[in-house]
Amino acid sequence: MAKYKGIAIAAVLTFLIGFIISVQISTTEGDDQGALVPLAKIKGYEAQLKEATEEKDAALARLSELEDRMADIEKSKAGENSSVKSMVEENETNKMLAGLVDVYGPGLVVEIKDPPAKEEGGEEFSLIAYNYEYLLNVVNKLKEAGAEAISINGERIVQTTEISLAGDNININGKATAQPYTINAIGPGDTMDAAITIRAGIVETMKSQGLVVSTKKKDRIEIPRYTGVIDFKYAKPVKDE
Amino acid sequence: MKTKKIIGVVILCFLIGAGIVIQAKMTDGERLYVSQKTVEDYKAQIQAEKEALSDVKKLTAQARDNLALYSKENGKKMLRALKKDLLKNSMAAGTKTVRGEGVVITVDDGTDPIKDGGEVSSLLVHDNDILRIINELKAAGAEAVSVNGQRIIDTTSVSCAGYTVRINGTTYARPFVIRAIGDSTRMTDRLIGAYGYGKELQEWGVQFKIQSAAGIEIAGYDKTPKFLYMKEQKGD
Repeated sequence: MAKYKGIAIAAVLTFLIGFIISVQISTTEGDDQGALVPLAKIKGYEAQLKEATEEKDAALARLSELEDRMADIEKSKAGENSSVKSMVEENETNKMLAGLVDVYGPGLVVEIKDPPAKEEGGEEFSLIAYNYEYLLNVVNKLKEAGAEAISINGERIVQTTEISLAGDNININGKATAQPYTINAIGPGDTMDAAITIRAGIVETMKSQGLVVSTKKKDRIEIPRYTGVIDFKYAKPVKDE
Repeated sequence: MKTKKIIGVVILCFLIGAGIVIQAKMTDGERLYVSQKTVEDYKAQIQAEKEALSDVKKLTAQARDNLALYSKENGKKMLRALKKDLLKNSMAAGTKTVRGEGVVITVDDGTDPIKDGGEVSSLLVHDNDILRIINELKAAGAEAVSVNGQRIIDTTSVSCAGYTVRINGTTYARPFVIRAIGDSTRMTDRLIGAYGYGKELQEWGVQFKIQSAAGIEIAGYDKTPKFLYMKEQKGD
């Protein structure tokens, strides 16, 4: 009896070790387990995303440099010529209104996350993606409350910005985005916060559907410029009288 | 003999214990696996950043050309470049009146009698409907949109005001005429195609009509913008 007991215990112990070793290996190098992907593989994609963002930021810095040089020339010419001065000012106002300038100011930050998956690796679809109208409503309410500049996950909301479902992702400015969503809005923080967190308001509706939503007022929010290429194929300007 | 066995078991248990602890430390409270969707999301976001980079490169090339014109001794070239830039920016801002082909949409409360168990509110046009239609037009590439003559710009909201709707501070009542300049086929398909929002409204009994037209004129946003909160980030 005792002999078998010893062997049984050893067998169980060996099994446990074997199990731990195999999990260890698959965590770092293993193949995807059916619909599941080892966490370590995600680190690779995270790094790729970081790199792509840094490249974009570097290009934006070079663009800013060129624009600064043009602004300097405009300033000196404006000093000599009053009609140039008023044109430069009008241009600045339109650039701000068009969302083509990096801006900062006080306002509100809204975070929207999908509910945590019930089982490991169970997120087959995104709740917020299939309810993208919530994003449209939040943005509308923020504008109603006086938002002057809004961005969603870094995409600036401009005149032509759409929020639509494309496949399993939400497209904004024609580009795919994914949760978690960070909405930055520059404007009156208190008013914007109240407009969306009001009883039976959009935040409450989102929470009742299971989304994880939080709002935070901030003294300084930075919102980047719209980086799309502006090209009007159908609309032509009408000459001023 | 017995001691050897016990030592063996103790070592084994130690290894297992250590293994479990190392395992826990490695995952650090995170899950060991994530779904394929998470991978797809990362891929989509990486693609988006690459597209943005390509756009910025195009903008940079344009800026370089402009700077060359600016730097010419002859001030006329700079003035011309500035005028062109101002026109482009005012079109992007929506302050310029524009004309082009597109669609004219008319939305109005339904006139059908209410079916049994139905509610009158499902026949009425709501502010949310206008918001959705505008969004659908933009998704179909609309370059300029107006509702009852009011230009839709980046800060324009569509608010409910009882039985009326407020846009850019002005109140409007039904019927709502929405004009959009762009690819009329694309915009029409999007709205009354298979899962189109316009089609959905029609099924609810709301009056929704869309017509292609040429030479649609959409007035520029005419209020003086006042930026009370946002400021330009200068320098780095």
